[in-house]
Amino acid sequence: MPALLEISDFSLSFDTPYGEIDAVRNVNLKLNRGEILSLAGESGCGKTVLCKSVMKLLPKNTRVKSGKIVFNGTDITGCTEKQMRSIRGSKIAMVFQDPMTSLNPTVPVGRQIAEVCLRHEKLSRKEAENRAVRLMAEAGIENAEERFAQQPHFFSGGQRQRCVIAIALAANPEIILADEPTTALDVTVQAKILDLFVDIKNKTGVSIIFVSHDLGVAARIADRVSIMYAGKIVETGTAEEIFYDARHPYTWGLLSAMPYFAQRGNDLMSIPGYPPVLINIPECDAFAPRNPNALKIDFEQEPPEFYVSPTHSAATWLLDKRAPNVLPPDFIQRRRNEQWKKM
Amino acid sequence: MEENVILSVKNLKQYFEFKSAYVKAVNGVSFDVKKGEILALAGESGCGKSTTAKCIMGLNRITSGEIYFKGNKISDRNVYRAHSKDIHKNLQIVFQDSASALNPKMRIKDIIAEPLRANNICTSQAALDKRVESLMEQTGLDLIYKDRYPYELSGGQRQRAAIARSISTSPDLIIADEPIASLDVSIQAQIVNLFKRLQREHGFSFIFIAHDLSVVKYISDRTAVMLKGRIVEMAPTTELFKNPLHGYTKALISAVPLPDPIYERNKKILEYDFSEFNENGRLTEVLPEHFVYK
Repeated sequence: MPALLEISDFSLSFDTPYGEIDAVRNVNLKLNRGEILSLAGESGCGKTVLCKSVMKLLPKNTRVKSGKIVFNGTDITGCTEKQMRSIRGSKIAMVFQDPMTSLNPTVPVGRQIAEVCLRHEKLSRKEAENRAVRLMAEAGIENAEERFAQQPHFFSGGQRQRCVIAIALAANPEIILADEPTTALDVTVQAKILDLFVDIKNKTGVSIIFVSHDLGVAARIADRVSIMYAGKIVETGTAEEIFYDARHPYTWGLLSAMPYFAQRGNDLMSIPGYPPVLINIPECDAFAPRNPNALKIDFEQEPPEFYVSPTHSAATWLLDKRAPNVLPPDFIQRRRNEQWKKM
Repeated sequence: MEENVILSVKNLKQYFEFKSAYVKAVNGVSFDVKKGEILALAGESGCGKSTTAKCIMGLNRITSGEIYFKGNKISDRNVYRAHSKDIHKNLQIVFQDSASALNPKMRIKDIIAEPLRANNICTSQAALDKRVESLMEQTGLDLIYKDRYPYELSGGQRQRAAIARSISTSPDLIIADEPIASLDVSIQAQIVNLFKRLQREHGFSFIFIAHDLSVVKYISDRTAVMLKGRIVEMAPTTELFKNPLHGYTKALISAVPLPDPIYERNKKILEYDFSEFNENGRLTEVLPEHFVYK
């Protein structure tokens, strides 16, 4: 079965007074039906820009340099604004990080949800309002009927995010793009919102791209994980492949930096240096300067994608036949061995 | 007062008046910080951890309670004034958002030198320059940033400058209020390592305020979990994570997502029933060193 959303060889840059910023570089990404794909990486790596380019919500100084985005068999890269309006919300919906800025503070939340139903479907106002109440209840808001008429400031952060999710669900979209939807929330609230996303996926069969910088969140929610660095996807695989058998040195670095894997008393293994500025990136592996195990070729040539399994690929020269045998950090080897034993 | 206790907070209360009602931000918090110890204050937003920090720093006029710093009752304004020199030198804070904590019109070297000047620690300009350079080296800031302004630095580098400033006077106690919350994972690890190293080298005591339990578990010697302006559980960190006794602590620990997909898919997240929360309870020692609110 073809993928629901397929982004191939997609590159995009922004023209700025400082030069051309290559925010997304040759990205290949597939989203299958009914799965949650987590897009993880540090800030500035292009996760949000990639989501917004699917929605075409980018500023005027954007230049799409190559590639295409195919949704449900049709190429939407060349869609006009008018055509996009029939896709946004109804086919592909987005949930943003900060629920306070994505809701209109002066309009009762129920009306904001009903608005989406009215816009995309032929419903009477009364029907749309009933639908909105049902959606709020589905998104986990208690006393939905009473709260229908309240403005966003009556709601707590977690409840506001639930309202935004209700808006996203309003027109039965096929894809939800969730851009760090739990980052602004407390852990106990985050846990509930994550469960809500999984629930929604299981009930409605919607596909979700879940952007997050927290690998713990990705592990909890994702079927597949893609790791981004400096505008590129450096590793993609099922959650098990990424967390138990990571192959890219950047993924190793991200995992190592988590206190979860550290021994008390030892230092955390941090990635030295800072992420690169995306202006005039040299033709090499962008992670090479921060990679303690970088090979000579990493500084000379950009690595292609190597496939470890049909579902697992990583862009690192370490997977080349000629590469020396560089072993991942101990704890990753240990975890891999433990998993092999179980399987 | 015990010899090796550097800070002692007793029944601290901080109420804020709001529309003729009171918001009880901190409602009877008591704890000690020992010399050379890292104490973590953990909890979710609104639990009163930052307000507690501000009360200790003397930034709020506290409603009631006592705060002793090195045996002096600094919650009393007169005592505070009498010891202000000592307090300013030996009690320092690092804030969450380094962008707003550093004066945007000052150069990095002046930001780091300011406490040294204010406390008359370095008398000559040459000694001051040398000290600033040594502080920048200790915190891993390249010397090319000396003449830069805060906005020219990345978040991680700015936080390093804020840390350099806080350790410049060799304080006895540093309070770090969510110092890594606004940083990326890989930079967080760098800053956590930096704190640990500096603490080892200088031996200061440290109150680490955080909502991220995985960092707390890694860095602190003792942990206090806060809820609704109270400490609900306090114990040595390894003990607290191995054997959490309060329902809220259990819920909080179970809610932290771990980088282990198979474990996560089968994990049942515990919920804390807030109706169980006893408004008039108190912190009692259940096991040695292990306090639970009930």
